[in-house]
Amino acid sequence: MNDQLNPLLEGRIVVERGAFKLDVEVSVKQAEIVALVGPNGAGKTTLLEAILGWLPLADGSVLLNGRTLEAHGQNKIVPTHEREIGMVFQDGLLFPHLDVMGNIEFGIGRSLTNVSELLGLLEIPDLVDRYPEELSAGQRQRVALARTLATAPKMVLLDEPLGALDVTGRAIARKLIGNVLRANGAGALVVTHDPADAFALADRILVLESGRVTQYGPPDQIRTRPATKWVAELVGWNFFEGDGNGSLVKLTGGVEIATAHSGLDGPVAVTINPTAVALYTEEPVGSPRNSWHCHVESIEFVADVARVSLVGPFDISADVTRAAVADLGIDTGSAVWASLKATEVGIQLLQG
Amino acid sequence: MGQQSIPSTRSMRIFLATVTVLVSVFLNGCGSGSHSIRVFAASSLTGVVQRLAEEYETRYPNTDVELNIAGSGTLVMQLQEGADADVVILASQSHMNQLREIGLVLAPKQIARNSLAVIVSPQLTKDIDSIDDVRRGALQIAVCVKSSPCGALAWAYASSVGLNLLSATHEPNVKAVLAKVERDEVDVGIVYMSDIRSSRERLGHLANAGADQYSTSYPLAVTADSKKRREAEDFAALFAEPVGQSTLTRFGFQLP
Amino acid sequence: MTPRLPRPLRLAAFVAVAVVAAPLLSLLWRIPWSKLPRLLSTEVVADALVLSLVTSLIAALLALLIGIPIAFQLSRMTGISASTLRAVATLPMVLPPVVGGAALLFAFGRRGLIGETLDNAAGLVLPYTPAGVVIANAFVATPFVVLTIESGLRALDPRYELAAASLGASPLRATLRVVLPMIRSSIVAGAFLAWARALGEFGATITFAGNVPGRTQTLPLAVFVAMEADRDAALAMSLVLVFVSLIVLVCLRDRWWPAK
Repeated sequence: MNDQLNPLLEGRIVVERGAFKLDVEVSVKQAEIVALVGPNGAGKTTLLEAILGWLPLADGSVLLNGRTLEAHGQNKIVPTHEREIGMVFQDGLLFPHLDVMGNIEFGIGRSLTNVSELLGLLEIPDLVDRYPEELSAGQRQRVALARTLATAPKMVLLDEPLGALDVTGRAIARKLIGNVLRANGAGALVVTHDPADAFALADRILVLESGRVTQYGPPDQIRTRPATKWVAELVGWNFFEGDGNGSLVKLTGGVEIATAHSGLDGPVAVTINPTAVALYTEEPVGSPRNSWHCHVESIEFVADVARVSLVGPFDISADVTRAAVADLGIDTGSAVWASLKATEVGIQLLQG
Repeated sequence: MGQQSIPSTRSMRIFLATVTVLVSVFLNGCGSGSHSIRVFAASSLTGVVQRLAEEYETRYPNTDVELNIAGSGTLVMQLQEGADADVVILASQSHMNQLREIGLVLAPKQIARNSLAVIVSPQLTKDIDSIDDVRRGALQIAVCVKSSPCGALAWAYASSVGLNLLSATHEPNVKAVLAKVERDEVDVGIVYMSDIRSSRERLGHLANAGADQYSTSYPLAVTADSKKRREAEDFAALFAEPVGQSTLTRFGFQLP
Repeated sequence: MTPRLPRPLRLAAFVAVAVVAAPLLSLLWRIPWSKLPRLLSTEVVADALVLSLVTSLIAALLALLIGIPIAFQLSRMTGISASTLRAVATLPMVLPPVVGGAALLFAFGRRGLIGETLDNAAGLVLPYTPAGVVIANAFVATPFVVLTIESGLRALDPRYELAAASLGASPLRATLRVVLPMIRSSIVAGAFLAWARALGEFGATITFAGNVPGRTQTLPLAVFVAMEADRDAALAMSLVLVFVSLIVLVCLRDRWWPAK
């Protein structure tokens, strides 16, 4: 059996918790890192717990390396402690009554991996005698990862592994975790609400909204073709829904956008990269067929980029350089013309 | 005052007044009420005093009889610690002497006698019929605590017949001993003759065990600081009357 | 800076403390201090003290053995079934001890539901033996164990068990290696409370195990008997009980209820 062809983890997971229903088809390849993103309450932790076997499936099945762990209608369910799936928790969740070494060695017994190599890789060998309460958040996270990897699981689940860290810690930790996971070779499913983590670590990104998968693909696809408003907001893009007619899209506000597509008919989603929106102090002449008179609601500066939020016929964001803001002489409340080329308008067809 | 977040002064006053009234009613309840006498009686006399209390209340409808029934030792302790009583009836002269010595009671008079009896649980009446059987068998015995008249007598009796009481259970009063034998929680008990009469179970009684040689007398006294001396003496007088005498004998006591 | 209590409350608190402290202080005031050594060295006292200590310790252990499984079961339950089980498990704590003793008699007495079978089959009689004292004490002490440990278990983040399972620990191993060590303070608190309760038990002991000097006459029973016979001895033994109780309280310190 070729591990590269058969997925490591696959399954359809249906979980019901009160009024909330999770219905997800997931697959993770061997040695692949999949990031699981989504708004709060989307069901990310629920999905992880279902894969672990901590929550029963209402329907569907979970297979690991072709072995059925759980399937609806089947009596035999493999219990959590036999699934060979490890989990790293948001705050590490180290056992407070054991020291670092005790924690890391807790699961070993099933298979002996070279613990010292793991310690070195995560840069924690000098911490072995300390107790969890003496460690910083970052150190705890690394110990938690070591603890899980020490048991050589076939797959690793990580629930917001960088959640407890500050910005600098995150950048370092992100790199470390990425290296360690790839060196390990097991597949990984990482829950994160920080798009930077997702884009840095993942081979594929799975977007979960209200218990359903709304997009599942490589980071570039997510970045350039966001499928929902939430994903668009995640990557900082403008996102609108409207009705297509020929090459025009009429948005729900009444605004018409000219696109470079033709034959549009029915509901479509419009995505616009903020960097494609140009700002003028006077009505532009020339090729852009899409221009609108707006007012500046706010301007945010991040490094050299200014994110200008506009209100007008519709609310759109534009990314311009800091210098451009100065040249235009705009500020909160200023009137501007926003325009964009038809070729810059991204279209995705929506199911009726 | 401006904003009032605590209960208003008026409702606070009402609350305090109610509490004061309740507390004084409660406190007044202790000690003899204005129309009742308190009788402290040894537990072996339970049936007798209850009957005579009824008789008293019939004859003197204006006065109630409050009974406090317990082991003689307990009653002595309560009185030493200042409990209020008008009439005291104990199961031994030595216990009454403890009260006389500290001047708590006026001159007592004997109103009854009671002798010891060895009883056997209903389950064992067939197998045990002499004190030798008791001595030989590894039986569970119950007696009163040594500090009670019944217990002191029981120990005296036991040593005279060579009966070992080291593994006997020492109950707080003679009624407790009786109850344990009746329910077969113990095999043998040493109680008073009067207790055999009052029992409804088919207890075994070792009449030839020689326990009846050990007896106690019941002194009755009016307390020195009783505020109802006349009523107390009326109650005491009942014991010498025919109603008292017949009640005593009916309950298995001997007359003095 | 913590604000001062309003005046009426301070006054009420002062009175309340005085009311509670008064009996204890009166006891100390009445103790015949000079006769103490002689009083405490009698056989009655020595027997009662040893019996009390041994039976209360064994009863506390028994209470742990019975109480821990109940607490674990309770911690997994919710709703009416949980309330019912909890009520049954804490009944011995609320029941008047004499009633508890009577109930034990009906179950384990010579003619009791289970006691009669034990007697007929193995000649085993529990009343009037030290074992009976242990049973009576364990009966009233178990609820303390159940309540403190259930409280500790509920305060524990359930994800720790998930973490243990994800590392390959079976439920039993997770309980032994993770849960129990993490509720250590609850277990200790429960054990001490159980021990303190067992030490002071009177009503159930005298009703079920009887009052046999040397065998079932624990210190509280000995005090009761001595109150009539030898007041000074009663006071001396009371002092011993107060002293031992203080030691238990000091050991408990502030671990009455798990803080975490």
